[in-house]
Amino acid sequence: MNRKNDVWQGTLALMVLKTLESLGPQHGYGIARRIEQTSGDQLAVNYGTLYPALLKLEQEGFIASEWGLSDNNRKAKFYSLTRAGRKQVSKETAQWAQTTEILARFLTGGNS
Amino acid sequence: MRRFRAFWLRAASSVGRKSAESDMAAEIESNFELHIAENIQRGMDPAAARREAVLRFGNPESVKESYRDRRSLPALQMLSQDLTYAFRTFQKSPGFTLAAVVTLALGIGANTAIFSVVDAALIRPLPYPSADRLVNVWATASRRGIDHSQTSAGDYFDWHDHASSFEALASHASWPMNLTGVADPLHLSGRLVSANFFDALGVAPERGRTFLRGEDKPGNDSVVISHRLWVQLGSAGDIIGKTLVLNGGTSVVVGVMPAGFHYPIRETDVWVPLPLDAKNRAFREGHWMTVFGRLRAGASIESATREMQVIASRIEREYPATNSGWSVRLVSLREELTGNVRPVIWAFQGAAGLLLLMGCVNLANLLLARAASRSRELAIRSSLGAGRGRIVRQLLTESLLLALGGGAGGLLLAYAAVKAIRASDFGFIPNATEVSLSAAVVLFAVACSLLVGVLFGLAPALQAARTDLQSVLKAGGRGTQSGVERRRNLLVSAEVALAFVLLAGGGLLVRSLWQMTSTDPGFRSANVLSMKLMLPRSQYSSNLKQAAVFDPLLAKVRSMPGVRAAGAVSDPPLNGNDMTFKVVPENFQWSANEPHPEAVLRAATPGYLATVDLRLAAGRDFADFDTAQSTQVAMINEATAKRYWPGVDPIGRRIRIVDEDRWMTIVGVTRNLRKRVLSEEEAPVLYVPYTQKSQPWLSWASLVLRTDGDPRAYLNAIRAEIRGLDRNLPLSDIETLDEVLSKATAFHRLRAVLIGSIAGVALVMALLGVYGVLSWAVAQRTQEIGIRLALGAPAGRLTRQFLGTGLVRVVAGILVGAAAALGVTRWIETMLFGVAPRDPVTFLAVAALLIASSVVAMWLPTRRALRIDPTIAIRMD
Repeated sequence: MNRKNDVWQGTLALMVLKTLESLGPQHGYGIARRIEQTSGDQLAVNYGTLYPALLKLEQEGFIASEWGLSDNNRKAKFYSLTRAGRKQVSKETAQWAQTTEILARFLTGGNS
Repeated sequence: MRRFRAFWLRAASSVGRKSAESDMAAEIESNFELHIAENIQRGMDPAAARREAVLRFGNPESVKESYRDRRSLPALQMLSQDLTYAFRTFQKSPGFTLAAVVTLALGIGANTAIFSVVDAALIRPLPYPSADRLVNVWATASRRGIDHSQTSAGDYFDWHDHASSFEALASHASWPMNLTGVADPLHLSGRLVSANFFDALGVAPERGRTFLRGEDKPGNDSVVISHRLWVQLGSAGDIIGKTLVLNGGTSVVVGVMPAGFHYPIRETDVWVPLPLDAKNRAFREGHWMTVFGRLRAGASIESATREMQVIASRIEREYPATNSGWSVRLVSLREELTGNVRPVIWAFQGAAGLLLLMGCVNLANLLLARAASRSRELAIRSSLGAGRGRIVRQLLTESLLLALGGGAGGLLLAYAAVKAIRASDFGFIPNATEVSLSAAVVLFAVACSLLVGVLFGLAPALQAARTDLQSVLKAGGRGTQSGVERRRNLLVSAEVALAFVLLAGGGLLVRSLWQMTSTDPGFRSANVLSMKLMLPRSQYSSNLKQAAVFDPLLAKVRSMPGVRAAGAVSDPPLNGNDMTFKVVPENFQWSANEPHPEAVLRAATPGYLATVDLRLAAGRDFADFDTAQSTQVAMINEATAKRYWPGVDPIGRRIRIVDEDRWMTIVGVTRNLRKRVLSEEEAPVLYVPYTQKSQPWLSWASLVLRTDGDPRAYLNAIRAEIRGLDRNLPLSDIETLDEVLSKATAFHRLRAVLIGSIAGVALVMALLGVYGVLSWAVAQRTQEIGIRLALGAPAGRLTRQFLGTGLVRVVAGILVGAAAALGVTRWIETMLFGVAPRDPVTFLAVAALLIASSVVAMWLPTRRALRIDPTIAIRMD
């Protein structure tokens, strides 16, 4: 069976923020689905990790939550990006890009 | 910053969480439903859609658990659980809880109260800017055993002109003053000061100015007064420039010092510039000035000492007649103010610390016993999954809570003690009025509580956590006793040892006090009143003028009904103001490297000796026929006789003061008085009659009278007499000799009572410990005792056996305590009088007391156990 990877430690928060930035307000299930889809179903989001991550972002003031109605008229808790959250996305994105670039250089430059 | 915000949100949601819980459940539920709905949308049948969603979500309880852990602070929740649990335990055993809190409150209270004194007297900076740079400069003459002498004006000005280590080197001297021209004349404590006196202290006046450079010369009439005197004079806003009549002359107030300022003594109310002309500035005979200075920034006391010693030896070479053998010593002001009491205060703190330690041992003991009986409960908790760390943590929470409760009680006690200390204003505690529960003191109490909580809680907690589950559950709660008993026995020995140290210290102090109070001071104090009358020198400039007040006053007082005797003397017993003069005893030879003969000079009237019952060893008292014109006479004390006329009858021999050619014939030899510290006999003394003294400046006298009843009843009549002679004469230092004597021993009494009562409490604690451990051990063995009794073992043998094992612990404690006490008591050697710090009688008495009282404490529970009916005992579980 094709075993899916768990989300790497520390990257889930950025994925959540990025998801909210591109999709706008979204409920927990929607966020999980989107992350899984974006990864081409390579990643599996564990709810035992997702909820604490959402809570942590909310406690830190990067996202806010509100109860609302979903597309199919169900009650759901929607998360949206705050102003601080928006700043955080661009900051972390830049950082992440830099990290991966450095890492890529190591990995490719190792043999030459 | 973000983390901080998150932390507070978590901490806050640890408290109220009902709504958050349902919110979480609703969110999980709604996401679950969304998942199913989407599955159906993708074409799954409802049952399969639900099954897939369940698999995807995992165990909802474990999801919730990780959600909860993030929502709040797990540690905080655990703490609140532990707290709830601890309070429930306290409720179940209120007796134990109360005993623990009270014990700790007493211990922490005593330590906190004493620490408040340490804080005010020894830690807090002195109330002068950069006070650590203030030093006293004392003249020393090591060959004569003098290490703390005032100095002469000539020496001071030389020091002042040549020393470069000081920003300012100032001097001051006592200058008693009468303030007249006001409704009630006042006797004030005044100071003659050099012009730079206030500059050296670095304190600015509250009003007006302090003295200007060059103001310390004759003819200057400026004075600076204390805030207290300003208030006493009516708090006039326009006081600056007003005149005061001081010692008969007029002075102009130029400044008022701020409230709370005092230097050099608390009582000082008036500061006057030194009125010295060039001749007096060069005078090197009399040592009457106290010198202090402010060190330059960067100058150390050592470097300043070296510089001052060089200057002193130069002066010594230049003026060998007056300065031969004199050098200097620098002492920091703090050392000066607290040097004497520091060991005493630390001894108090040490004793209180030992007491607290005993309290801890006692509680540890109780907790161990409780932990043993709780071992079943704890075993069940741990078999339900509580980790070892968790159990230690819970038990420590309990002991810390007890300790904090004790700390709160201790702070209350300390608050009461601080109020008492401030009110009593013991002269021997520097800054007694500044003692308070400052932040440092409160912090000390809290730290004390926490430390104590860990100290008495850790051993029982670890003990409980180490418990072997199986054996406890099997043995029905009695599985670990041998270990507990061993540990408890050790604690008992420790307690006995601590009690021994405290009892030995207390015993030594109490014995010293007893020795001191039973020492004959050389006079009889009952029904004697003493009061000081200061005649202004300007007005009463000769013996004859002074006699015009003293003679009729004494005659009048003697004629009052009920007055047995009356007289006057310049310095009454235990007064401590000795004026030492160089004397020349006739035909007494001393070699060049011996110090010049000296004697303390006192002027007295006929009848003074009889009034205070100072006995004559030989010869006669002064009499009315010893007038200015008759043969010049003197009396000496036995110390003078022994030193200068050893083995010879001194009556009829002659003595004179150096630089005078007035030979005085010795007519009487008095017994020696005790010094102000009763432990010492006084030095050689020379008494001269008021009518013949060659010191016209000695214009004061203490009037003493012995009466049939309360001598204070005569005070008003005496005041009236004095007013009749001169309405501007104030009386001061009105004290009965009983009060003087009691004051002389007050410090000794206080510390003996304090340490003694601490030792008493320690004894009780130790006995409780001994009693508790033995009754517990006996109770644990009730069954065994029953069996042995039933098998016919004689009760006496069982008693002996129990007492024997208990006594071994006590004796071990005594041996350790005695060894510790032998090391410790030398720290209080300076507080002892007439008792050696390792006094064998005290040590043996303490050992006997401990053994006897612990035998009683152990016999009580043993007897109770042996009285039990064997049939009942055997069936007990």
